[in-house]
Amino acid sequence: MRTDSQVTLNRAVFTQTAFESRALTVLTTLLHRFTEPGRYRVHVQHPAMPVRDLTVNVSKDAKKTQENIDLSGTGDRGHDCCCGADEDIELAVNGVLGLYPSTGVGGYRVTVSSVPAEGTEAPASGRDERTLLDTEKGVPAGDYFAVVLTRPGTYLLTARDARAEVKVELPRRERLRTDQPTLVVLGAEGFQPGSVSQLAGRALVVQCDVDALLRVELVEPEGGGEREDRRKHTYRRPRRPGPEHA
Amino acid sequence: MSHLTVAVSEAAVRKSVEVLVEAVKWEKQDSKDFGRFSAGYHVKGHLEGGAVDLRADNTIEIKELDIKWDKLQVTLGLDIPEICVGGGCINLPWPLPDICLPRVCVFSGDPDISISPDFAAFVAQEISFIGSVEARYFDMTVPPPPGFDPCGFLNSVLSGTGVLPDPPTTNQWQIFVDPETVDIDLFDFADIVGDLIEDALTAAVTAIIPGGWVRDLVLAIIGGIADLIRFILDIPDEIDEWLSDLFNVSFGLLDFLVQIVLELFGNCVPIYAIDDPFEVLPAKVSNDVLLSGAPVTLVPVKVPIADLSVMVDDTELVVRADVGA
Repeated sequence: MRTDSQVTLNRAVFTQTAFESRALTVLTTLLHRFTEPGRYRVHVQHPAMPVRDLTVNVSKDAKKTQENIDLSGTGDRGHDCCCGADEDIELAVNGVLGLYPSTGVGGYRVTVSSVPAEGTEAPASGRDERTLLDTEKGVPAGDYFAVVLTRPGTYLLTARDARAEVKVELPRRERLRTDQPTLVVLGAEGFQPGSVSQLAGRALVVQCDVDALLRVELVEPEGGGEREDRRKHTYRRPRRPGPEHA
Repeated sequence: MSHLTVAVSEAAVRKSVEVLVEAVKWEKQDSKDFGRFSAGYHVKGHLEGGAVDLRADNTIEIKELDIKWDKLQVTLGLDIPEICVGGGCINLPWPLPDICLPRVCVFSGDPDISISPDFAAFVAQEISFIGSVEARYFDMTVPPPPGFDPCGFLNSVLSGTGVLPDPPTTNQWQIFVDPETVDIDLFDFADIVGDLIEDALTAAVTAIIPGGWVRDLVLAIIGGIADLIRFILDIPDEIDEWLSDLFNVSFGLLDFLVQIVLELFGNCVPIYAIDDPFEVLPAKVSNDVLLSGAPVTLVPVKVPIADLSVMVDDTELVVRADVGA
C-alpha cells in the first residue's frame, strides 16, 4: 500500500507560548477603531521584511465596518477581504482595522497616523501628535488585543499592574468550535473578569478601556510540559562475546 | 437439401470457447476528480473456467466465467479541508459595530493525502452470457469504411497476444456467438476492505498531524479522523459499500467488462471461420502426372461455399452449406 502526502505545517500556531501587544506575532490580532473621519497611514515594520504602508480612508459614507489585514501576506488582506492589495482601505466611522500575521516568526510593529488632508499643513506640534497607535508603546484605549491560545494549560494575562489567570482546556468529547472568543475588559481597576477558562483554539479578546501594554504567557502547560511525541531510534550495542561458561 | 453438413459436438464447442477465453486479458486505468477527493484505478484481469451449454432455442450459454483480477488497485486522494483556529465575533453595544476575528490555519496550502491499496485478492466475480449463433459473411471486396475499426476498443484494452485474429485475407464465413444477455456479478467488497481503507486513510491523515496535544487539538477541531474521512468522501454508511458503488457506477468497470464480452464474442472473434472458397486439396508438387515423372505443380482445389447457415440444439452445433457459386 502506497501513501503520499504534501503538507506544510504552520508551526508557529503551536510553538508560540508568549504573546505581547508590542510585537504582533502569529495568533495575535490588534483591532484598532477609527472614531474620526479622515485619512490614515498604517506603517508596518518587521525585523526581516520590507516596510509596508497602507492607507485607510474613514468616512461617514463608507459602508464597511471592518477590514482584517494579514501582515505576513505580500499585501494580501485577510480572508474576509475582496479588494486589491494596492487599493486604499475604506472604512466607516467607528470601523475597525484588524492587524494580524497568519504565518512566520518574529513580531510586527504597527503605527497608525493621521494624514493631513490635501491642502492643509501638518500640525505644528510634530509627528507624535498625529500618531494614534504605536504597538511598541501600547494599545490605546478603545482598541482590542486578541490572542488565540492553542496549547492547553494556565496562562497569565498582564497589563499595567493588573493580572488575570486564563485556563485553557481541550474539549472532553464534543467537537471543538473555535469561533467563540472570550471577552475580557481591561479598565483602571484591572481585568474583568479576573480569571477566565476557555477551550483551546479560541481567541481571548482584551478590550482596552485604558492604554496598556499587554502580555499573555503560558506559565503551566497542561500535563507538566511534556515533550511532544517524537519518533526515536534506540541503538543497542551488540553484546560483546564473553567468556564461555561450561 | 444442403450439399454439406457438419455437426460439432458440445464438447468440441466447449474446447473452442476455452481456447478463446484463456487468451483474454485486459488492463485499464483512469481517475476522476470528485472535488473534495479524487479516485482512480488501475486494473488488470483475465477470464478463467466457465461452462458451455448448447440450448435448444438456437443459443449457446457460456456461464460462470471467473473474472480473475491480477491487479485491482484503487487510488484515493483526499483534499483535507482547512483546519483553523480563532475566528468568531464579539458583539458590542450599539452603535458600535461588532468586531470579528481572523482565523489562522494550521496548514499552509491544502494538505492532500492519498492511498493506493490493491484489492485483487478480495474480489471474486463471475460473468455469464447467452448468445445466439450467427453466420456472417466477410467480403473482401467490401472493406469497412475508412476510420472504422470494429475491434478498436478491444485493441486498446486487451493485453497479451493472439486473442484478436488478423483480418482475413480471403472471403470468409464466420460463426459468432452474439451475446443477447450478459449477467455479471457486481463489485461487492467485503467489510474487511472497508476497514483496510479506513485504517490506511486514518494512518495517512494522522501522519500529517503532529503528536501530543497538537493532535488532540486538531482532532477536536475536525471531530475525529473517521468523521473527517466520511465527510470528505461523502460516505453515508459503510466504506465497503461506497467502494462497491465507486467501481460499479462511477468507474463504470461493469460496463467495461460487459463491453469486452460483447465486442469479443459478438463482433471480433468468431468461434469458427471457414474460408470461401474452401480449400479441399492443397497445392502440391506431383511426380505422378507426367509419364516422364517430371514434377508438376498442382494448383489447390477450392470449392466455393454458399448459403452457409448454423443452428444449435441441445446436443450439437450444426453447420450447413451449399457447394458452388
